[in-house]
Amino acid sequence: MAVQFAVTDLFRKNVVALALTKTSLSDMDKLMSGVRQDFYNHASDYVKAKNPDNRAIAGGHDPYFMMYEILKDMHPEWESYLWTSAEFRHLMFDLANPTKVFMAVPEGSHFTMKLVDQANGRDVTFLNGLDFAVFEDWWPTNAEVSSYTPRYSVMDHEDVLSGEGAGTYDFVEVHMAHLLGVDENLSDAYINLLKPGGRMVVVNSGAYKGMYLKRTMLHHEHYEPNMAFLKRDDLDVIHFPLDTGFTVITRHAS
Amino acid sequence: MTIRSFTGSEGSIYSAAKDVEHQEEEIAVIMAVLGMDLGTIDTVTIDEIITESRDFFPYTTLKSDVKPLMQGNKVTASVSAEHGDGRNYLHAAESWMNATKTRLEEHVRRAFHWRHLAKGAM
Repeated sequence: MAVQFAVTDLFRKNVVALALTKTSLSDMDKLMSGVRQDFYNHASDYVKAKNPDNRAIAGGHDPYFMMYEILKDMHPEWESYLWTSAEFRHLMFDLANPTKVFMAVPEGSHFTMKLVDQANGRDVTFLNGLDFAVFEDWWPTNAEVSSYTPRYSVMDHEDVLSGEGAGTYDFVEVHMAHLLGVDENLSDAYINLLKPGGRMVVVNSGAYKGMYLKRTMLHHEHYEPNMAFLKRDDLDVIHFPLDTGFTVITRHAS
Repeated sequence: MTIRSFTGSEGSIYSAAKDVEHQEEEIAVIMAVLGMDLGTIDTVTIDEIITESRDFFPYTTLKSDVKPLMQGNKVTASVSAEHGDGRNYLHAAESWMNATKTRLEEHVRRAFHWRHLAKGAM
């Protein structure tokens, strides 16, 4: 008997989105392009070399623990699934056209390399974490991005918490994972990086769609951190239930 | 000013020590919440922290006295058992505590994972 594969509505939706979208980066920066593939291979090797503990009790089935493994050998559904968010993010970035940028996750791609290229004159700061370590380890090894002349800075988590650079960034991009903690200090600290009128993108704010699938949303662990954005009276917040969840925050101009 | 910059010749500006420092603070806060001895932070295992968390939030037994009224796949109200859908549920407060537990465990697992990788880069 032939094997039957189920195809989800989400898969169909994203395949259509993948087919009908075009931006300046569409042809050169898809998730399965050569540059990205090389980055994911590099990242996978980097993480494996550190012998992480991937048992269920250590990871709790958290996709972040296996992210580079998943991306390295990606199922087509994953490409269309993540690519839609990535393109939407690029579009948001182009619309904002920021000059001072803070990003928590510098993925190895033409998008990131163009961002930090000296010719663009942008002031780009990354978060001092695993993804930055991988990015910094990777880009000098990739011949295809050697035409860029990168200039960037890095800030430690503790400095973000202590208010370093607060109120000075036009554009901040973080993953929801960076905002979670026992209180709202991390969330507030990243939002406080924004200058008045600045915009922030929170990737994966729907917990890989888990928050939308939960029968009662308020019982999902990401519900309260999302609600915390609404408590502040200096923000406009739009939550897009787009695939893994995507939140755009604008800090009021004054 | 503690922001470090790469302008072409600095080499690596990632600081594994600073990364470890932050992840340890996150782990320590959660250990303190759970009432664990912070003096053991260098030797404690993730299994011990998760076990402590599960003891701290022991809401795993479904109750027969509360059953939500279901319409389609939506909960419309909490009603007494005889009007439920035949299954048992947690009390709402316990569900909320479990969501808090999941969030803390998610966070400490990541901090533990990221600390391990950062230590490997030192």
